[in-house]
Formats: sequence, C-alpha cells, structure tokens
Amino acid sequence: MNKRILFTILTILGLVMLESPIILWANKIDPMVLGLPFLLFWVLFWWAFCTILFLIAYKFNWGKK
Amino acid sequence: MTIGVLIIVIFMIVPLMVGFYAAGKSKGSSDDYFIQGRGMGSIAVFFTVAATWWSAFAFLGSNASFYSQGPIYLTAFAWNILFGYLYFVIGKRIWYLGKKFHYVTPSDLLGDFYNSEKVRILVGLVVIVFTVPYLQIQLTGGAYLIEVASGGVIPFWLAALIFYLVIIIYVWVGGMRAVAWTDIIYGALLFFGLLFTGLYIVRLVGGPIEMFEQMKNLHPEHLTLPGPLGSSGYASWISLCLITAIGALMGPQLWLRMYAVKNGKLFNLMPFLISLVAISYIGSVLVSWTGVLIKPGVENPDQILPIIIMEYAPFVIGAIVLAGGASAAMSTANSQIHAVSAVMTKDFYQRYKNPDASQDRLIQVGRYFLLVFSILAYFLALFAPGLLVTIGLIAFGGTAQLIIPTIGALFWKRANEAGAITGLIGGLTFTILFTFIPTLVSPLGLNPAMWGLLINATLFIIISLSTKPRDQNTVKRFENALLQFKYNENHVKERDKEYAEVN
Repeated sequence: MNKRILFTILTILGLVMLESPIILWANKIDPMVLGLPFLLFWVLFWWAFCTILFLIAYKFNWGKK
Repeated sequence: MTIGVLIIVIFMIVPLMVGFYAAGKSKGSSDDYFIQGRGMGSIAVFFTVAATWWSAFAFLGSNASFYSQGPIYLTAFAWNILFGYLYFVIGKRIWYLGKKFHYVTPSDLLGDFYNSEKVRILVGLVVIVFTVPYLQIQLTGGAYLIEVASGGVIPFWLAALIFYLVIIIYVWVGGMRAVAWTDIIYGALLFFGLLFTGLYIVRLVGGPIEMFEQMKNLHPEHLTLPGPLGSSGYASWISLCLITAIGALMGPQLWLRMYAVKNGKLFNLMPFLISLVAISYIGSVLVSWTGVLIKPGVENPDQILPIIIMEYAPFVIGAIVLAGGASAAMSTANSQIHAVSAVMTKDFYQRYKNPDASQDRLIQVGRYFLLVFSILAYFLALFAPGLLVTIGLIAFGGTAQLIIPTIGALFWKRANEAGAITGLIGGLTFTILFTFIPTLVSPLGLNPAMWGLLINATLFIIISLSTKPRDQNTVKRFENALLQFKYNENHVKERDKEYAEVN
C-alpha cells in the first residue's frame, strides 16, 4: 500500500480509538494495567501509538518522494 | 518571601533582555516585525507554536479539571495529536501559499482566495473578537500565579500590570522575533515545570501506583467519565478535543506562526513534537489526583496547583514552578497581542486607511495597536474573572469556525464567497446564541460550537453549489499553486504544456 495512505489511515485509527464512542467501552477502572486505571492506560497507549507513528512518518517523509 | 520576589524579578528581566537582543537582529521591514520575514528556525518555531498553544488554560485549567471533573481532560492527549496532524496537513499548505502570494494574516489568504473584501473584513473581525477574551484569561491566570509566587507581596492588579508592561516592552521593540525567542524560555519552563511538579507531589502519597490504588478505593468516580459531578461525559469529551484543537489552530497567533516558518520540512516533524509534549499532562494528572486525596474541598479548583505546591514543596521550587505557570500565560498572551495588532495593522489600517503606508509607519501603527489591546485586556482581567476552561472554550469555538472556509480554500475548487460568508455567519450565530442565552440548550449535550461547525459546513456547501463559481483566474491561480505544492514546479509545467498541446 502507498505509505502516505497508510500513515493517514493509522493516524485516523489512533484518533478513532480516542475520540469515537469506543472510548465509552474503555471507560472503566478495571483491569488496572501497569498500575494505571484502564481509561488512563487506554488513552496513554493510543497517544504513544500516534506519537511513535508520527516519528516514523517523519523518517519516511510522510510517504512523499 | 523575598526569594519569591527575586525569582519573579529574574523571570521578568530575562525575557526583556532576550527581547532587546532580538530587537538588535530586526531588519526594519513590516514583514520582519509581524512574521520574522518568513525566516524562523526550527527550534524557535517548535517552542513558539507549542508554548503559544499551551496557555494558562493548559496549566491551571488542566489541574482544575482533573481535580473537580474527573478524567475528561485526558482528551487533551488526543487534541495534541489532532492539532499536530492538522498543523502538518493544513499549516503546511497555508505556509506554502503565504510564501507564494505574500500573505501575513488569515484575512490575506481567505480574502484573496474568495476574492472578496467582505470575507476579508469578516475574518479580521472574527479573529479579533474571539482572541481578546482568550487574551484576558491569560492575564488573569498569569497575574494570579505571580501574586501567589510572591507570597502575596505583589497584589493581583500590580502583578497584571507588571505582566503586561514586560510583554509590551519586548514585543514593542522586537516584534515576532522577540516573541518567538522568549517563548523558547517560557516553553521549557512550562513543560518541565508541569511534569516535575507531578512527579514531585505524587511522592507525598507513595508514588503514582499507590496514588491510583488509593483513588480507586476512595474516589473511583474520579477515574471514569462522566466524573464526580456527573456532567463531563462523552459529548464534552469529543467537543473539548475538536474545538480546542481546531480553534487554536485557526487563532491568528498560530496562523502567523505558519507563515513565519523558514523551512517547510519542519511541518513534517511537528505532529511528532506536538504529540510528544502532551507528556506534560501526566504531571497534571498526578498533581490533581494527589490533590483529591490530600487536599479535598478546595473551593476554586483553578487554585489547586498553586495551593498544593506552596504548601508541600520548598518555597523556591514552588516559586519556580509557578513562574512556569506564568510562562504558560505569558507565552500565549505575547503572541496574541502581537497577532491581533498585526491583523489590525495589515487588514484594516493598511488595507482601508493608508495603502501607501511606509514600512516604518506600519511597524509604528502595529505598536499602537499593541498598546490599545493590552490596556483593553487589562481592564477585562480586573473586572471579569471566571473559570478558565469555560472562557477558553467560547474563544476557541469562535475561531474554530474559520476551519470551514480554510478547508474550502485548500481543497475545494467550487468554494465561493457567498458560501463562505453564509456558513461563517450561520455557524457563529448559533455558537454565540447557544453559549450566551441560558434558555437555549445545545442538543445532545455537545458544545454549541460543534453544531456551529456542522451548520457552517452545511451552509457553506449548499450555498457554494447553488451560486455562481468564483472568478476563473483566481481559481486557476490557486489550483496551480496547490498543484505545485503537491508535486513540484517542473511536473506542473510539463502538465500545463501537455494541456496546451491537447487544446
């Protein structure tokens, strides 16, 4: 797949996980992961996902030649 | 106490020195004063964008929110991602067009694209009207922190006055360059201050894991939406994220920071950098929830961080951290005052009053506006305080409406003047009415500005399609410019040649 499209799709995926109603599923305390309430863990996980994704995208010039 | 005052004096003098140093580098043109001659380097761009968009709303408001409303502010992690990504997708195009067609303000781009004086004036008014209340929050937050850090020696009115005098002086002499350079210091203080405070304070209850365990047992309602008050659910979660990210991006202070960038490659890195600094919000989580455990029942939640830090940390650390908070406020306020005076000077004074004004005259007029807006915001701060988050959202809700005509300009050839104006007026009217008239309740609990955006976009599309297209010359000029952005100049030249041959 074209890298540029892939980066866009993954960014949207990260945002959907954080901002769509899916967040209501993650809206709970248990199971605590790494000592964090589940909601906090969920948010930090997808935040880290997008942050690392942005670094990789930068390295690949966002898929542009 | 004297140490606190000393720290504040240093905190005020250092930016002044940086400002005067920056002034020594100025080139005397109005472009240099307003957008640093489109030559701002990477480090300055990153810090000035990040620190400008992280305001007192982030520093005091985040703690107030975690403390009193539960986890709703966690949505900030997403808005940093969204903001960073939009800065790349939209900001880079704005930067490119700005360089090509010599834009300095938001109105320059939108007025030119829609080929309309009405759009130009409307956009100018929107950015000014919605930036001033937000400016006033910065002043209120910053002055309050200075008052606390000085141990009450410097009263609020005096703190606010000093706060503004310092900003006015260095913006007056150094323009955009002084703002950006001081933002490097403010930014570093702000981000490390917030994170450090969290890690320091959470030790009081035995570390983060212990703190979350205690919160789970004693205050579980703080750990999930809709929070202890029951008022901050999903509708607020998504409203806060979208309106904050979009509203900030469309603010004139951020817009000027797109034009000012020297190297376009930096835009590719900004999503990563902007997302990364969200890590400081972990500091807010730790401070505020520790606060819930050890200092419950603070009446004004905006004060939770200053109260905790002054009570539980050595005074010197406390004063430095609070100076970090004041940095958050100053780094936003300086950019806003500078941006609003740029808009008044370029969009109103130069455009309609004195088109032949000399470079010196423009800079001079910019400085007068700087003074006028500072005085206005000062009086607003003395007479109209309030919960920081709420006021911030109203301001963002207004500027956020500009995203619709902007996306239209960048991505939709068929967009036109009538669509842009009707959309903006429709969106703004809804937002203002549903914010200020208590009997009108926004449907589904969403922020009124969210509905404003929807109405704005709908009207924009329908009216654009049902009225006649824009002037073909303007369409062609922008289409070519954006194609050049997408590929490169040679590719477009070849394409034009082929097109000419076929016809």
